[in-house]
Amino acid sequence: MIWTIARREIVTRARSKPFIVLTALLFVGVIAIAVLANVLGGDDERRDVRIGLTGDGVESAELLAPGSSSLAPEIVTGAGASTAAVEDGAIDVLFDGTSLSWEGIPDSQIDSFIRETLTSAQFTDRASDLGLDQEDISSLFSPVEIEEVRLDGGDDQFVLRLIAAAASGGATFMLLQIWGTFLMMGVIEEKSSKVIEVLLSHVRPSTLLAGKVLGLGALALLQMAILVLGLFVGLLLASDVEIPTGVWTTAPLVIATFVAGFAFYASLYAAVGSTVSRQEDASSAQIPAMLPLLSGYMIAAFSISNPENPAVVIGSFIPFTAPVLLPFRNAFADLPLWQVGLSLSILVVSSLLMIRLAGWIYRFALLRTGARTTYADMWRNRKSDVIG
Amino acid sequence: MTDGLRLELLRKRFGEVVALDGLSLHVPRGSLVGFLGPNGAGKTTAMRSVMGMVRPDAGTISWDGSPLDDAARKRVGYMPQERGLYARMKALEQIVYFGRLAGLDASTADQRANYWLERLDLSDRRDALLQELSGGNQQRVQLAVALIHDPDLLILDEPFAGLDPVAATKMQEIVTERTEAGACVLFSSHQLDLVSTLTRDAIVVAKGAVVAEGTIDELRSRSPLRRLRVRWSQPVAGFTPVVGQITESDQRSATIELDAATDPEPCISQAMAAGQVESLTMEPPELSELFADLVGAGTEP
Repeated sequence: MIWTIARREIVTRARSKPFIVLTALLFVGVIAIAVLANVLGGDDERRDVRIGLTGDGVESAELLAPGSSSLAPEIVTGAGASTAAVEDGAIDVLFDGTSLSWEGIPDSQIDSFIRETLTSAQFTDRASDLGLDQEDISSLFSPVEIEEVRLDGGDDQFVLRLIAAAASGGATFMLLQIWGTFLMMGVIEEKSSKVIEVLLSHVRPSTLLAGKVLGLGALALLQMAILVLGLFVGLLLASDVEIPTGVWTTAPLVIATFVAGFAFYASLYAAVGSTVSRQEDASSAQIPAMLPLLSGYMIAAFSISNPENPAVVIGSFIPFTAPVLLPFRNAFADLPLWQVGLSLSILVVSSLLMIRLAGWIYRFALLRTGARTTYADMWRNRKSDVIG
Repeated sequence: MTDGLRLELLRKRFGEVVALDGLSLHVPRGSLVGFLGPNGAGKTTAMRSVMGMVRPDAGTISWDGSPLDDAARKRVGYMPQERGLYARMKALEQIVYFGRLAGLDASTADQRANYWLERLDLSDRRDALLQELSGGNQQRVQLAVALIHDPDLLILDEPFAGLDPVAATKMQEIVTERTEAGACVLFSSHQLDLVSTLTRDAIVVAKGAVVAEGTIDELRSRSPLRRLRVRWSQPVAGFTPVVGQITESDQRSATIELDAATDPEPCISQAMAAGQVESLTMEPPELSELFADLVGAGTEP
């Protein structure tokens, strides 16, 4: 029975536009993050460029040929080095000893490469004219050596950790909010369309709720998996990036936290949804669910520069904020196992309690139509009016 | 036939409002019973109690002698007063879905859903979304949903509300067919004259309790009033009966209200003397006319 209900939720939702759009956006987001990681991860592939030399420019061929750390130039001289070649894109730039000719906007990287190379060559020439030997010139250029020491003993993978934290905490927040809202709208739809009474003639409210949570949960988990797996494949593809161990342990942790967090928030959203019978009342009804979820996200957002502050640490043990803050915190700090275990245990136990409470509210409010069911009303009639 | 549905001394209070006040009723197997009463009399609460959607404060509900539990409820078909289905689900899919929830396997559900769509003249609309169907056709889908699992007990809350005449006739036909097959049907209505055409048995409720019960003829004959209707072949001027009172009259006919205990003979003789009588009937009032008396003054049917 639960499976029949879950399957309807999955089929209906998977066909809907918001789901398709959201899934597509996730794919795009994952690719974007992977690309970003590649760029930030210091890819040492040099860019191939073609520099045409003509006139006095030809004399610079030897100086320019080795290229730089980011550019691998191919030097073109003779017939191929013409303004026509620049215009048709056969070469990137033409240098005649005094001017650089571009097609369109100058490429700043090539531009500064040529200028810096020639300037430093000229500097060396003039220094030797002044009687300085090679050793003098080297000492003239040697920079002051300053070492970077991180007192927290942390690694220098901050950017990667930041991406992992944003992706895991941010995605958890986003997907819990989106899917919580989907679930709530589904509950309200069943109430407002009155189909609920036909449903309840066949199934118990708790079965109905379980089917809905499982069905939508499966889809939400699928999206989370796309995101997490995509992200790690992306990071893996980023060459030369040493992935911090914290990032790796984040993967299973993110999934586990998401499952427990989903059970917690989905049942909360379903419960608040059941207190109203019109879509118009949804936004005010969802506040008790949205506010705690949002506060977890806000704590994370304001703690990026200082991810181990007390708000994050405490929040990672409170079930309302833990789904977002636990993966966020772990991405930065390689948490000890007992902390992860404690936080997850609290979350799982709270989820079970929330399922019971939400199920009770749902059973109470499901057949009440018209005005919004108040929590005071629930308390007054807690003995008599619960169905199922 | 076996016992059927029995509600005994059901009580339910919602805050200050007493919805059921010791209501008892019996719907034997193979019977079709109209459940009548003004708005707020407790019809819907009683029906929801049968469906397990309202938990009575006291009283018992039994089916064929044992308490009506979830397993027994699998054999109940329900059409709530507030009709509702999924707006963006196809007609066939929707009926199949509810069949599955009622415990049918996929192929049986599919086969039965198609049968009912055909029977209700909706075959060509099976892939239409519910919201694309007309109001009347949506009602037919709703009926199919209630019937998909061949229920032994049908609880129909205001089944004729919103039905077009063709669908209403079909509904009567199907409901009668189900009772002939041994199912029992309890349907509520406040369209009393429609009830009289459909069934002989009625239960009248007011303020949460049964106030009258029996065949419609019995209920009518319990009335302390009789109506004597006379029709003459020629116009008769100024007919004034010796007993009773004229409630309606025109040149060629008159309706005289008499006390049931009164001997109508003087009045009949008088009518025959006044002119050539074409027809003459004496009957208790229609159920709808009795309704206000049955459920107590101040309530509207």
